[in-house]
Amino acid sequence: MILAWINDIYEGVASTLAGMRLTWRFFWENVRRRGGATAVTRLYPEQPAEVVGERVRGHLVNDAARCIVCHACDKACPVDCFVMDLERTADNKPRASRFDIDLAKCIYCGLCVRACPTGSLSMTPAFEVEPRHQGQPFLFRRNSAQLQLRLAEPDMQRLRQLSQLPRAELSAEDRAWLDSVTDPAGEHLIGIFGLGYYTPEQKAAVEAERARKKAEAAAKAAAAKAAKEAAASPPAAASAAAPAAQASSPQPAAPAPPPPAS
Amino acid sequence: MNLGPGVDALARFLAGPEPAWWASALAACIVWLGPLLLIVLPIAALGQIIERKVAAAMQRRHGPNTAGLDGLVRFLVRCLCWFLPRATQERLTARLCRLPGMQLARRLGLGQLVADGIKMLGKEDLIPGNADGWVFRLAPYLAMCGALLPFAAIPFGQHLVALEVPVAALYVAAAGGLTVIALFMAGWGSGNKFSLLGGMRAVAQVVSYEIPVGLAIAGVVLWCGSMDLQRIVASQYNAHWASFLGWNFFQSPFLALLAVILFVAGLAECQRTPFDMAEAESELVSGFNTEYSGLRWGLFAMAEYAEMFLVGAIIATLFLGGYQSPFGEPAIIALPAWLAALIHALMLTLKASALLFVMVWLRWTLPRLRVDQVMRLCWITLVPLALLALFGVALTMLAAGSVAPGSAYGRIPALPELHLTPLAHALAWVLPVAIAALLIVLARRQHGRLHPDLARLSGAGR
Repeated sequence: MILAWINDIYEGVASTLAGMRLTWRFFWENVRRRGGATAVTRLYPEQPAEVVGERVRGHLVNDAARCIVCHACDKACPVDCFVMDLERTADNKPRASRFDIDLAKCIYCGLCVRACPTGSLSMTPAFEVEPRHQGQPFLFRRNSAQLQLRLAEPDMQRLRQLSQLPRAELSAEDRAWLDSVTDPAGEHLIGIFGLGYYTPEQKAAVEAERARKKAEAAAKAAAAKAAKEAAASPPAAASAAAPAAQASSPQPAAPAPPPPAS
Repeated sequence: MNLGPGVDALARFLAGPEPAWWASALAACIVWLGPLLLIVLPIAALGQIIERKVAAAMQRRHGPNTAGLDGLVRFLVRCLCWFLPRATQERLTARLCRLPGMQLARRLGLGQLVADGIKMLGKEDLIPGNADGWVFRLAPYLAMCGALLPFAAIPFGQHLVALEVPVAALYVAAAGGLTVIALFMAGWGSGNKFSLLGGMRAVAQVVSYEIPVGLAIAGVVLWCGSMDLQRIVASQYNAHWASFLGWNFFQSPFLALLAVILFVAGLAECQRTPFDMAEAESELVSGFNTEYSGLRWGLFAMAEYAEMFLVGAIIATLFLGGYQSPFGEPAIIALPAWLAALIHALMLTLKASALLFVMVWLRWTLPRLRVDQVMRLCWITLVPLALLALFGVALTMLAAGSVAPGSAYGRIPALPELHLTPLAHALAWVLPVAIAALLIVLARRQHGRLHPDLARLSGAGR
C-alpha cells in the first residue's frame, strides 16, 4: 500500500511535469519569435483575413432577376430586415420594384436563404465590408456591402455620389448607369438603408408604410374579433361590422412611397 | 514611541529627535502602507497582464497587443501642457509616442490595464434583491484585507518591514486566513444557491489546505529556531556559502519538499485553477463571484492576484532566502542602506513574481480537479508528505547535532543557528534523495500501473 501511494505521487508529479514541459515549449517558441510569430491566430484588421470556406454565411445577396417577391424570406426573417415591393412586368411576371436588406439588422442566420423558393437569395463567403476604407475604421461603415460585391471601388464612389442626389436631378446618362449597376434587369432597384440611396425621408416613408400596414392588420384583427363577438349576439351588429372589415382589407389606396425610380 | 526602526527613523527625520505623535502616525502610515501601495498593488494589477500574455503564448495566441498607452499620453499632454498651442501638443504627443518603450507597451497591451480599470469603474454596481446587504457589500473589502494584511509582516529588506512581530510566521498564516471568511461571506450574502455552494467549497478547501501550509511553515520554524521572519531570512545568509546555497530550499531535501508542498497548498488557498472548483464556471456559474459586478468584482480579482503574490513572497521568504540576492550578498550589504533596501525589495519582488509565473504556467497546463480529488490530494498526499518531511527535518537536525532532543520546547530564540559543514550538507542531501529514489524505483517496479485500491478510490476503473 505504501509503495502504491509512492507510485501514485510519482505518477501525479511526472504527468504534471510532462504537461508543463509542453506548455513551456509553446510559450518559449512564442516568446522567442518576438511575440506571437508562431501564433495560429491572426491580427485581423492589420493582417488580411482569409475566407475560411465556401459555405460560410457571409453577406446576403439577392439576384433580382429570379426574385418573385413572394415574401417567404420576409416571413422567415427573425429580425425583419427586408422591405420589398411587388410590381408586374409587361408579361405579368412578378418582380421586385424594391428589395431592401437592412444590413444593420441582419444577423446572418441564413433562414431566408432556406425559405427562398427560387434560389434568388444566397449568402456569399465574402464577409468584409469595407476594410479600412479611406483610413476610416471599418466597423462603422457596413451598409454598402451588397453593392460592394458587384462594384469596383471607383464605381462605388460614383454610386455614393449619385445616391446623395434626388433621382430627378440626375442626368440621363447617370440615371442609366445607376440603373445598370444597381440591377441588371433595369428599372427595379436594390437599395440598402443607410447607403444614402434612399433619402431619410424615403426611409421614413417606408417605415411609416410598414407601421400603417401593421396598424391596419391590427384593426382588421380587432374588427374580426368584434364581428365574432357580434355574431354571438344580435346579427344586425355583425352585418355592420363585416363591411368595415372588408373595406380595410384590400390594398391601400395611397400609393407606396415612391421608389427612386418614380 | 516604539513602532519599529523604520517608522521611528522616518518620524525623527520628519520632526526632529523627539517626534510628536502626529509625526509618528504619519511615518507609520508611510512605512506600513508604502510597500503595499508601491509594490503589491501594481503587481496585483500587472499579474493580470502577465496572466493574459502568458496564457496567450501558451495557447499560441497573441493576447492583448493593440492597447498601448498612446491615448493616455495624449490625455496627459493635454492636461499638463494646456498652455501650449494645439499643434505643439500634437507634435509632443507624437514624439512621446514614438519612444521605443511605447511600442513595447503596445505589444504588451499595457493600455489594457487602464481600459479595464475604467471599464470596471463605469460598470453598474448591482446588488441582488435577496442579497444579505451588509455581508454582500463587506465581502470584497475583507478579501482585499486578507490579501494585503500579511504583507505587513513580510520583510522586503533589512529594515523594510512594516510590522516587526516575533511571531510573524504565525501572523502571516493567520491573517491570510481572513480571505476564506470573505469568500464565505460573498457566497452567503449573494442570496444565490450557486454562490453559496461556491462559498462552501471554498471554505472546505481552504480550511483543509491550512494544514499542509501550517506543517510547511512549522518545518522552517523548526529549522531556523525562530518565528520571526526577519530572523528566518537572516539565518539563510550562511557564512559558509554566502550564495543561494545557504537558502533553506537548498539546505535539506526535506525543506525543498516542504517548499513544494507549501506552493501547492498555497495555490489551493488562492483558489487558482487546478483547485478552483469554488468558482467553477461550468458547474457553479462563477461560484461566489456570480452576483458581483464592477468595482466589487474588481476587488476580488485584485485580491486573487495579491494573494498569489503573497504566496510567492511567503515561499521566497521562508525557503528562497527572502530579500537576499542569490549572488554577492556581502557586497550588497556593504552598499548605502537605501540602495541595499532598494535591491533587496527588488529581489523579493522578482522571486515572488517568478513563483507567480509558475502559478500562471500551472493554470494553463492543468485541468480543474474534482471536489473529491482536491480533498484527496490534501488529506492523502500532502498532509502525510508534510508530516514525513517535518520528521525528516527534525531527524536532520538531530543528526547534525545542533540540538539535543527535547530542547525544542525550551527557549526558542536561544537556539543556536544551524550551520552545516559542506560534508554534512552533501550527506543531508544524498541520503534522503537516495532513499526516496530507491522507494520510487521499487514502487514503479511493483505498481507500474495504478494500485487497484487507489484505482477504485479515484474511480479510474469506471
